[in-house]
Amino acid sequence: MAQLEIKNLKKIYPPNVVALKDISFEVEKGEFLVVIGLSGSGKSTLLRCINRLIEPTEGSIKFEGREVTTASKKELREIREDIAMVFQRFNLIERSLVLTNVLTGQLAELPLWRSLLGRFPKELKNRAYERLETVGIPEQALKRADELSGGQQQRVGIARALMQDPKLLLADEPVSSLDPATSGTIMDYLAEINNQGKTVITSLHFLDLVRKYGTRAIGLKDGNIVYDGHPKDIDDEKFKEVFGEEAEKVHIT
Amino acid sequence: MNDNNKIQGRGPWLFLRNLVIAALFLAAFVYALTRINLDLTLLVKNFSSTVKLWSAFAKPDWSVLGEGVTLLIKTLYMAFMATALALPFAIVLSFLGAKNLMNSPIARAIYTFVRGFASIIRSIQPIIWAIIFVVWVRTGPFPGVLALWIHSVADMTKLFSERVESIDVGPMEAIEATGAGRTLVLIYGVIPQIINPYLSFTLYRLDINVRMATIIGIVGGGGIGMRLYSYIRKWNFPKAVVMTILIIIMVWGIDYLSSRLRERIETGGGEKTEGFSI
Repeated sequence: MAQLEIKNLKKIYPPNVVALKDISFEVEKGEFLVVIGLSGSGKSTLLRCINRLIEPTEGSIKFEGREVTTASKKELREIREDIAMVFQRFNLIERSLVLTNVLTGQLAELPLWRSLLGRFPKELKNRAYERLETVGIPEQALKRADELSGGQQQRVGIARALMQDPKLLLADEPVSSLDPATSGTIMDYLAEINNQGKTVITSLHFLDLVRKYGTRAIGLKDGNIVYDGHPKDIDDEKFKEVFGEEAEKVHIT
Repeated sequence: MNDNNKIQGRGPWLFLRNLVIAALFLAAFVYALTRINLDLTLLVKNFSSTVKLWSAFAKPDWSVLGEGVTLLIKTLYMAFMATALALPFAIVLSFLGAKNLMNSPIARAIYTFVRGFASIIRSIQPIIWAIIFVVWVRTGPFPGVLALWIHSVADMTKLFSERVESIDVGPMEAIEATGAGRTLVLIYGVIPQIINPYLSFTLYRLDINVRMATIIGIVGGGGIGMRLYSYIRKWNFPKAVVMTILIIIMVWGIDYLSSRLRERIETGGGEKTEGFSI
């Protein structure tokens, strides 16, 4: 059984914008799957349907055997605890401390009163520091999140995701707001997480990054899968199929 | 060329339209003038009757200073109480009145009701509310507080709701994605984004309420305004002047304090956050 099974997934935004037409694929544990496609091809929608930040219109999503699409609120919260997410715009609580931001990855597992009062147990704080060490910025822990650079903020985003100790990491265009050098660092962290056995599903724009990090690539175009295979096998013809005739091949080295 | 022709073609029409609008305004102004008796000569002719008023400024009757200060403090209490009592109501209503949080059909109905109700209450000035409550519960500080309270609830609800509507949904979806429930999303995703604007609006409203509290006194809403008006009615200007001076000092002081505090809050609270505050 694959870790993630998506069958006939369809998403229509009211009134009638079709974002995903009929998507089916499976993801094995430990894969580094990259979703590629133009803006508006449905990448973000696909990733957000997996943890139901966006409600799918039709179809089935099974994560480790549990149906996500029909899960009750409580079941969904449990499923989400195993699926972490990293965002293009980092989505940190800007006015809060970096450490607090990392700790929010763990809110769901704390007793409510602790979360309400912001009283985090010592071992959780220690774990948050460890996660910040993993992404190389433990010294920023007591700064406000909005004082950090974009690359550092994304590292906080990753540390927050790691705080969940997830089985699957969804990264929605994690480097699209960053410069090329910083992008490499962030991708290296994602690769490291993947090496520790966690599945990664991410959307990327640059083919070079897709080839360097992905173990598999899925090409989306107008809500359909037009490519599914190894990133190294994407030749010019396939590239044109995914990105359209007019798209220039983008190389960032 | 085509666009150019269009613009040139519309030119005379635009000019004509503006001319018509200007002519209408002028006509309205002239008509209004004929309906209201603007007898400017009265200002000159009756100047002598104000001499008593102006001369009072030269010799205020300071014997009422103690009484005035007591009333001033009472007026501050009124404004403070109205603001403090309005705050919890406005906080709760602001979430119910925020379009982005109220998604389901039932929630949308509540949203429409809350915002509609707030607009209606807000559109009625505090002084009108004071008249209503004076009729209802008799004169004194109590109707004054009620009037300021109801208008503050509506005003703060509107300002707060608009603030909630403009928050960044990013942190909310990030917290939601970790498996946290609605309460935690609210506390960690929403509140950090709104707490400072809420504080700032509340201080601003306190400032307004202090000023309104004196006006409301005139219709029987208690406090220093009520006493000021009673001295004016008795033509006891030396005493009225003392009250006026006290009001000026209080309004200026609160205005200054509130704007300084708000400046600090809006620029990010000054000092860096310590510990585990959210």
